[in-house]
Amino acid sequence: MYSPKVRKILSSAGIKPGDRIRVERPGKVYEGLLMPKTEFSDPNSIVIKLDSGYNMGIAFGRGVKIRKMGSGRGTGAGGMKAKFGKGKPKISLVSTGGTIASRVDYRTGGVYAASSPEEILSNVPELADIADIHEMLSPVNKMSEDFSPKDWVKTAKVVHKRLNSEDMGVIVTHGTDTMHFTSAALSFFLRNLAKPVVLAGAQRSSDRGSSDAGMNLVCAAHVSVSDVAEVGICMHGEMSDSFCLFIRGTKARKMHTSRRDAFRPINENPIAKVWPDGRMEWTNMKRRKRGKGETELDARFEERVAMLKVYPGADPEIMDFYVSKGYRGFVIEGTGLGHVPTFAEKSWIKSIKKHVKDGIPFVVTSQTLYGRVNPDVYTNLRILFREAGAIPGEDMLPETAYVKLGWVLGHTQDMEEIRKRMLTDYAGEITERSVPEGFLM
Amino acid sequence: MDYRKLGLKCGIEIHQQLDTRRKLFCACAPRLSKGKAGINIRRRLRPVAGETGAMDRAALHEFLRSLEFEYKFYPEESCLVEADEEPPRPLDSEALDIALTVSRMLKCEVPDEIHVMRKHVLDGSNTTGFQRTALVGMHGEVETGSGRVGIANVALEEESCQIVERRDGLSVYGLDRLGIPLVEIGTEPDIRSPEHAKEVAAKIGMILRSTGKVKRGIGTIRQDINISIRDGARVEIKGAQELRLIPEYVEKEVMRQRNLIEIREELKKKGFRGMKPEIREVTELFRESESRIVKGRKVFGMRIPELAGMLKRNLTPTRTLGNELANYVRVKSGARGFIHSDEDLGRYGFEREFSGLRKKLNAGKNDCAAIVVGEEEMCRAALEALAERVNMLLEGVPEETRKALENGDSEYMRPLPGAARMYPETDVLPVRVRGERIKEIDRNLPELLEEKAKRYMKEYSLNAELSSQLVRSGMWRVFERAVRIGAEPKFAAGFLTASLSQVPGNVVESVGEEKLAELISSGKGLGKEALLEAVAKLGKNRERSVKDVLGESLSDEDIRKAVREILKDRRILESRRPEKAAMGEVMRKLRGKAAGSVVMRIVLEELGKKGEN
Repeated sequence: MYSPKVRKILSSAGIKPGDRIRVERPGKVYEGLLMPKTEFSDPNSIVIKLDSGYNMGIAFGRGVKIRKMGSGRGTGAGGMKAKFGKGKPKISLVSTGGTIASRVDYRTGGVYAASSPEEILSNVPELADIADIHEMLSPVNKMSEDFSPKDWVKTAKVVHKRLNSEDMGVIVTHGTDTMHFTSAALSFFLRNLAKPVVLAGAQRSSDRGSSDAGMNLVCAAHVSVSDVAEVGICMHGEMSDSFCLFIRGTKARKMHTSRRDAFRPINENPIAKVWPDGRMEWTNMKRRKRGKGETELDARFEERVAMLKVYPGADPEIMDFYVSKGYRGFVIEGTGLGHVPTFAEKSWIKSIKKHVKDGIPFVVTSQTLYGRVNPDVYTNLRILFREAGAIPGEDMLPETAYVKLGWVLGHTQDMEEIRKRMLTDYAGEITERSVPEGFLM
Repeated sequence: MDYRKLGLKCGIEIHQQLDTRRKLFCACAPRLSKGKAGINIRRRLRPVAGETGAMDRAALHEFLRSLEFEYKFYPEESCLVEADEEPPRPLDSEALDIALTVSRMLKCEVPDEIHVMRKHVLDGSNTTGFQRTALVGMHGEVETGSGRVGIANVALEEESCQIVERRDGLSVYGLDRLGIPLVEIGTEPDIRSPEHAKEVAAKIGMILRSTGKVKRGIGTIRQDINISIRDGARVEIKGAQELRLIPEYVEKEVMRQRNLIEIREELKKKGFRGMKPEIREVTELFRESESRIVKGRKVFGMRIPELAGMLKRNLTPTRTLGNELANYVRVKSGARGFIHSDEDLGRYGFEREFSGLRKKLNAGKNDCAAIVVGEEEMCRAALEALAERVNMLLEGVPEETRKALENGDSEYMRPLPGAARMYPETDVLPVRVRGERIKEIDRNLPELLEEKAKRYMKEYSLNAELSSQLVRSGMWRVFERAVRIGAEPKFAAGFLTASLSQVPGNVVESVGEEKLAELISSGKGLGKEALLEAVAKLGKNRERSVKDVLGESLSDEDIRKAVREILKDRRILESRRPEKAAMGEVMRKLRGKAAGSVVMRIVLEELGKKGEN
C-alpha cells in the first residue's frame, strides 16, 4: 500500500494502478504504467513499468509532478481454458490454498491467491488425458502455516462427500508447510477408506516455468485413479523432474525448506513411485487396496493438545502453564529413545507424574524423527514410562502423534482407553517392524 | 558508402561479466569451473500464465514438452540457488556498486529504487525459466570521435548457464556460469557508421575496464549489434566477441539488407506474388544416380516460381541468397539444407536428374527446382520452410535475430523476440538507492584507462608504449599496489608486462594480485629471473608466503662462493669478456636464486681481486 500522502496525490489526479502516467521532476521525465505497491518497497516511492519492461521506483519528494496519460486495461488473467477429460475416470479436486494456488497478475506483477481451482487446472492441460476432474471445491483458501484443526475438519467434510460419490479418487491441493499435519488428520478422520486421497502442493510457484506444480499434479492424478485406498502426499521424489513419491499421510514429513523433494517418508518406504507418464511402482507391502463401501467421517477433535520439545535447560513449568489454560493432553518430542530431563536440576518427571495422575495423557515421541521410542533400555526411560506413566509413541512422527492425540481425546477421556488407542495402528502411523529402508530416503 | 543516406540505424548492446567475490544471488564462486562436474539433475519447463508471443499457449506447451534439460553441478561454483531449489539471496552489493559506478561513468540517471525483474527465457539456459535483471541506469551518454552516443539503459543481470552439449531433445548445461554478475549496456541507435560501431564498443569497453572490477578473457565480454537501414528492418546480430570484426558485421548486414530490398523490387516487377509449397516425391528420378547423397533415401522436390538465377546472387561477398534460404531451412526443419537448380549440379552429378525433375515439377526456364533428401516428415517440413522464406522475400528484410559468425558473416537464429516480457522478481526485495550512495560513487569514479596511461607517462616517466601496454594488460592494478608499497615504477611496469607474459595466465591468477605486488616491491634488486622463479613457486603452492619464497634467495656469501668456483675455470678467465662469460655461468648455476645485479657486482669484485694478484 502506498503511503497516505502518495495515495492522496494519486487519487486527486484520478490515477489508479495500471494507468499510464508521466512523472516529472527537475530535469527528468519518466513515463510508464503505475504499478501497485509491493509490500517491501518504500511506501513513499511510486513504482512504474517503463516501456523497456523494467520497473523502477521513483522517490516521491518535493517538485515531483504526476500526470495521467491514459487509463489502464483490466487485470490480465491470461491462462488457458481449463480442460476436462470427458470419458476419463471421474475425480474431484479440493483446493485449500498455498503456493500451488498462488498466481501472478501479469499486468501488474502482484501475487494473489487463485480464486478458483479452474485456475490451477488451466496450467496443466495434460490432466485431461488422465482423469475427468468434474468437480472442484475450495472449502479453505489459505497458506498452510495459517491452518488450524478446524480447517482439517472442513477439508475432511468436503473430501468425505466426494469419496462417497461416483469419483474414483480425490486430489487435495495444499500449501506445503503443514501439509503433513493435514494428511495425518485426513488419515484419522476418514474411516473405512475405499479410494485414494492424494495431497499435492508446490515448492516453486506456478508463475515460473520451472514450477513443480504441474508434474506433482499429473502424478497425483495417476495415483487418484490407481488401485490404492490411502491418504498420502504426492510430491517430487528427487531434485530432477523425473518421478514423484506417494507417501503415507501419517508417515510423511517436510524435511527441507525449499527443495522440490522436501517431503520424505519417515520410518517406512513410500507407498509408490509414480512417473509422469503414468508408470507406477508399488514400493510398500502395507498398502490398502481400492475397496467398496461407504467411507465414514469421524472428525471429533480435541483442540487443547500441546506439542512440547525438550532440550538441555528446558523448563518444566511450561506444562503447568498449558494445564492452567485447560489443555487436556501433551505430545513431547523427547531426545534419543524418548528421554526427558530426569535427574537434571529442572527435572520434568515430577510434573509429568502429577499431571498423568490428574488424567492428562503424555505421549512421548523422539526429536530424532527416525527410529522408535523405547520405554525400557535405560533407567531414565523406565522412570518416565513405568513410574510417571507417559505413553511411548512407538515410531510415530511427533506431528502425527499430535494430530492423533487430539483425535483420540475427541472420543475418550479414560486414561487406559487413551493409552490403548494411542498404541493401536489406525492409519499406518505405527509400524510393527523397523525396516532398514526407512532411514534417510 | 554514405551510411546517412542509407538511413543506417545502429546500436550496440554490451554484456560484461563483473569480477566480484560472489555471485549475484548466492555465495558461490563466480567463475567457470575447472573441476569435475558432480551430480546432474534433469528438468523440464512449462509455459507460465500470461506468456504469449509467437506461439499460442497450447502450442508452446506442446513444444516445451518435447524438450528436456540436464544441469551439471560444480562443487564450488553452484549450489541449490542455481538449481532453483532455494530462493535467491539478496542482490550482491559489491556487484550493485560496480554496476552503479559504470552507470555513473556513462552519465546515467539511477532509479531511486532498483527493482529486480524476471525476463522469460525458455531455452533452458536458466533453471528458473527466466533471467533476473535490474535497471540501474538510463538516459546516459558516451562521447566519441564522431559525436555523442546515447546510452538507453544499463542493467545488472545474472549470467545464464553455459551449454555443454546438445542431443536430440536434450540440452546439457553447466550451472557454473549461471548467476555470475553481468552488466548490460544498451546504446541508443545513434551509431553512424561501421567504424563508429567499433569505436563505441571500444570506448565502452575501456570505461568498463577502468573500474578494475570486470572479468577479462574469452567470453567475459560479448556484443550484440542492432542494425537497420531505410526500408529494411531491425536485425539483431548476437554474440560478437571480437572488436575488430564489428565494422564487418555492420557492413555486411547493410549489404545484405540492400540486396534483399533489391531482390524484393525485382520480384515485384516480375509479378511474383508468393508461392504455395507444392511438394512431390521424386525418389524415382534419382534411382539411377551414383551419388551417395541420395542412395537408398527418399527425395522430395518443389518448384520455386520466378526465382531462376536469383539463388546464386550474392547477398554479401561470402553468402548467396541460396545460403540464406538454406540456413533458414536448417534452423526450422533440422534438414541439412536443400539442393537447387541454381547450383553447380555437376558437383553432385545431378544434371540429368534435374532436367527430369524440371519436367516433373512443371518448372519453366524462369523457375527454380529444389530437392531435399531424407525422411519424409523432415523433407516436407524443410520444403515448407523454404516456401515460407521465399514468400518473406516479398517483405524484403524480415526482423530477426542472427548469430555472429567468426568470419564477419551472420546467420539466421530465430525471429526477433517481441518487447521484453518482464515481470517482477517477487523473491528479491527492491533496493533503495539513497542520494548519499550515488554521491559517494560519484566522488570515487575511477580514472579512465586513457587518462591513467597518460598519467603514468608523466608521473613515472614510463614511455608511451609501456604505459599503454600496462593499462591494456589489466596489470595496472598490481602496478599501483606495488608502487604504493615501494616498488620501483619502471622495473615494476616492465616486469608486469614483458616478463610476466612468459608465465601462464592461470599461474599468475593463482598467485594473486596482493602477493604479486608484495613480491615486486620486496624483491627489489633481485632481478627478473629470481622474481619469475618466485612467481612459479607461489603459483604452485597457494599456501606459501612471499617472504618464505624469497628467503630461498641466496645471501652475498653464498653467491661469492659460487662465483669463486666458476672463476677457477681458466677458459672463462681467458675468454674475451670474462665478466660476461662468468656472469652467464653463475646465473645458470644459481637458477634464479640471486639477482643479476648482485651477481654482476660480485663477479666484478672477484675479477678485480684476481686482476690485482
